[in-house]
Amino acid sequence: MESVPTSYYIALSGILFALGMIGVLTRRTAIMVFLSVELMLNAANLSLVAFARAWGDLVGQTAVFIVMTLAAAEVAIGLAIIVAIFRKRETTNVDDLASLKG
Amino acid sequence: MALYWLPLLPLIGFLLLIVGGRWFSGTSGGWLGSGFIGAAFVVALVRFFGLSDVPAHETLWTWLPNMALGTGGVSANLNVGFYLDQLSSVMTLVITGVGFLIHVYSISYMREDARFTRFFALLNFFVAMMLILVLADSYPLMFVGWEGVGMASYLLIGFWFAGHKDHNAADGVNNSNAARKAFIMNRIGDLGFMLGMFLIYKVFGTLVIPELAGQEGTLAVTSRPLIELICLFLLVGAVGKSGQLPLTTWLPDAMAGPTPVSALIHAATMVTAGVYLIARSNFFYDLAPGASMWVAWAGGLTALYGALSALNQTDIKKILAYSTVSQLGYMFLAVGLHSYTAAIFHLVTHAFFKALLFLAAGAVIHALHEEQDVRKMGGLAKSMPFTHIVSLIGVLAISGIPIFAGFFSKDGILASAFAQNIPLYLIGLFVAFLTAFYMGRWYFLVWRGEYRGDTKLHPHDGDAVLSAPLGILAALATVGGFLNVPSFLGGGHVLDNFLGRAIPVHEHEILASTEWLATLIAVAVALAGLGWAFYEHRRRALQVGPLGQFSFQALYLDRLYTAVVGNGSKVISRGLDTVDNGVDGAMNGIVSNVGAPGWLVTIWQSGFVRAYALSMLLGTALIVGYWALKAIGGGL
Repeated sequence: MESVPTSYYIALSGILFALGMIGVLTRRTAIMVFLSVELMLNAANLSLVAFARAWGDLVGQTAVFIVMTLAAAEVAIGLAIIVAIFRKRETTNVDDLASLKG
Repeated sequence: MALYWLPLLPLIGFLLLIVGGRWFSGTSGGWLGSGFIGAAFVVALVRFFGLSDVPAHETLWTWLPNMALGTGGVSANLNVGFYLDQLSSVMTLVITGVGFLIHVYSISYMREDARFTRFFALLNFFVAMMLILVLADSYPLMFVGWEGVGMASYLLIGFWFAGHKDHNAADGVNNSNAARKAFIMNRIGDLGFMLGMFLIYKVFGTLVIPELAGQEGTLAVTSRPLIELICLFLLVGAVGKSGQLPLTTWLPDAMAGPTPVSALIHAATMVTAGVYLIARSNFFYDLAPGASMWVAWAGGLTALYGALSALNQTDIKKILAYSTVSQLGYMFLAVGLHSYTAAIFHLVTHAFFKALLFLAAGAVIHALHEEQDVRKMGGLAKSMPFTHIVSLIGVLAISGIPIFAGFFSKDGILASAFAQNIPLYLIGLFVAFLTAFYMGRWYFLVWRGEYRGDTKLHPHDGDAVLSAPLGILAALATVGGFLNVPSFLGGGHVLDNFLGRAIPVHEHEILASTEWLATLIAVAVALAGLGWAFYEHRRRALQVGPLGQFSFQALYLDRLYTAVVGNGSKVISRGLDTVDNGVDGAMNGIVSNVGAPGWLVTIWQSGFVRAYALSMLLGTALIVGYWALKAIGGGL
């Protein structure tokens, strides 16, 4: 059976990563920025899995499992922070959250 | 009774009255404070009668371990200890005796005051510190008392810091300034005292007075300039405390305090501490003829200065204040001539008659509702007969009229000056003339002639509590001189012989006929002074010519200090201020220049999260790009 070439996966991973990056840079809502960061994270996961398959090595897949667990924890904390910020500031616009500027 | 009860009793009184001031209503706090002083007087009497030729030396506890050199150069501890010999015993009797009378007087005098109990707390504190001063067995402990009485003096001069009676704020500021002036000028003297102590310790390895006095061998071989220097340092301390030239200007200003304070602290006891210090250090001064001459001349010139300044004062208390300066000068004159017993004798009689005069002045001030200007008095003899009689006794005593106390004590000083130093004798004689004049003027202006003040007032003698101390002091001022009647008048030098068991008495060979002559001259001079005062008073009540103004301004000494020291330090501080501003400018310049490069970095901390994300992206791209290109180019 003809398998999908690895380069396709890498290209998709790159496209997803670029989309996420554009989202982080252009979106002002903390939720959307957060969503975009998740997209970039999963783009990286995809490339890891793709390379693992290409090399026939399970280490890459294992790493992806760890990343997914960590991402779940990170989402929990990140959303909690966003909720806390909203409660305090009545906004989630990241451009307004500039109180730490030097 | 152990010696420590002497300072402890007033100290307990102080603590009770200062901590529990609210527990004592009415005059009860005053009676309690007086009671403690009275108890201390009883202790002093018991110890006085228990005196033997061996001085009592009672150690309480170790103060500074290994501070003093014991026998054979082994280091010993400096103890807190009290030392009672004939000299300190006489001092304790004067302090507690006169102190008790003034306490009782104050119960009546201060009755109206809102801070009545506080006043007695401070008076008790003063007496406790003064007793520590005279009973101390070492210079450091004496210094504790020395500073303690200085603080009590400061607190009591400024007792009316918020103004008195009508709460005049300007008066209050004046009172506070007088208190600060006394405190600051005393600091100059204290520096001398401390330097003296340092030098004594450096040379002799101990500061315990009986040990020092006992080191005749060491004293004899110590180089004379060192001992002279020690004596000069101690003289600076004594000059500060006793208001002698050149540190005299605080004492007349100290009259801002309540009258009992002037009587107790600034006439009878504290200001004589300098005389006591020198008499106590007689073993040094006997070996230092040079420094002793300085003491004698400081005293002689101060006596003259005080007398000249007292001539034309208008404040009933200021006249007495300058008179105190002058009389203290007599005492310094005497100790400088090594006539310690004559000085202590005059100290005792002066405590009687000057306390009497101040308290009588206080009674007048009270009766005239805080009027202190003698120009608004006169003719009070009719309305205040009792106070008039005791004042007259005080005036006769200080002027040196025979049988009154001042006659004998002043005569003793003049006789010793006559035997040793004719210029100082002549100054002393002239001062005796001036003393009789200004006290006569005081007497005639206050008591004789016509009343010149507010006719709405009806002055009258004080109540029994106010008058009883006056009566007792008047009796003492009358008979106090018989303590020490010289031999040519058929006396036995009782006080001289008594004190002679503790401090050296230097006999001066004078023919009895010469002594008679000197005494007659002194009495004639005193009568002439009183007579002149009477004549002046009859001729014109008061006039102020240029000479009078010179005297009224106390020889412009205060103006001189303001011009030289005051303005001098202002010039210096302005210069320092300029320097300080320069330093500040330089610092500010450095600070702003540090800020500038900092700004270059801080602008990156924009606070915009997306800007941070972009910079992370660019940075990552840069690093990854570099390695990618390197991999492709193979050594780019």
